[in-house]
Amino acid sequence: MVVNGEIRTMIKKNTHKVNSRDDRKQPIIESLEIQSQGRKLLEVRQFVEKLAAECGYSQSDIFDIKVSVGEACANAIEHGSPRGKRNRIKIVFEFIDDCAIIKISDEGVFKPRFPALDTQLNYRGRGIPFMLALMDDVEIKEGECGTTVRLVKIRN
Amino acid sequence: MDLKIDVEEKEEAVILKLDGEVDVYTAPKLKSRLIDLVDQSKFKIIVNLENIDFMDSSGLGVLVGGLKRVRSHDGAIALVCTQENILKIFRITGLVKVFPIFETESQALQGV
Repeated sequence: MVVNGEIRTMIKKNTHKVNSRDDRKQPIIESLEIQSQGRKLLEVRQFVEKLAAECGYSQSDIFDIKVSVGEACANAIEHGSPRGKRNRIKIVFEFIDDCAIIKISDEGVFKPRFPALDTQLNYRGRGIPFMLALMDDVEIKEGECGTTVRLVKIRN
Repeated sequence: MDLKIDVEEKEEAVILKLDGEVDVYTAPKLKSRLIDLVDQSKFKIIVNLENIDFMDSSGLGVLVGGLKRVRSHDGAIALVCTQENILKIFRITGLVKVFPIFETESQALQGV
């Protein structure tokens, strides 16, 4: 599937797409691939917002997911893209058993920063604390071809 | 969605009304506006976040940078925000202890 010039694939585990609160328990997997550019972050947020809403997440949880995925993508743009805009970032959203698992994969090296604490007036370093505070599980895996951040949000 | 910034001078303060989303892509616009104000010797700034739909760590970083600049001139930045989602990210990072946050602009004008 091609949306707005980007490659977008959709794989359904079941034959019916989740599109209402009544059948939202059916698992889904959707993915989005973007150019490594800050201006693409809005598209990523819209992508996860739409899916999380379809899965029945509350507005508060949807905001948490948008912030966390945005932070992971921003890190991928800044540190995981050695070739700049020519690099690509893949976002896979999977929902199964009341649980959203979102994987953000880039083509570079993850650069963790020491979290900014309480009243320290640091400009940066709040991305990982956001993910840890807003999601139920956060995992960062570095591989030979890039880094994958795995975020989990349980639907209450 | 882009970020729109309206500037209004009231009493001794400058009010920045933000409308839209603040992320890595749009935060530089806010940073630039804050730097301009400090260059114009405006050191009491109120940032109204009521019409912000989204803000990430880059937005917080810009506000912290602005606060550092105005503090070096004995100034201050106060925020106006009642949106729970936006307040949440200030709480997570402990920045509720750094920025005075008010429910209305008039309260912020009294408090800045």
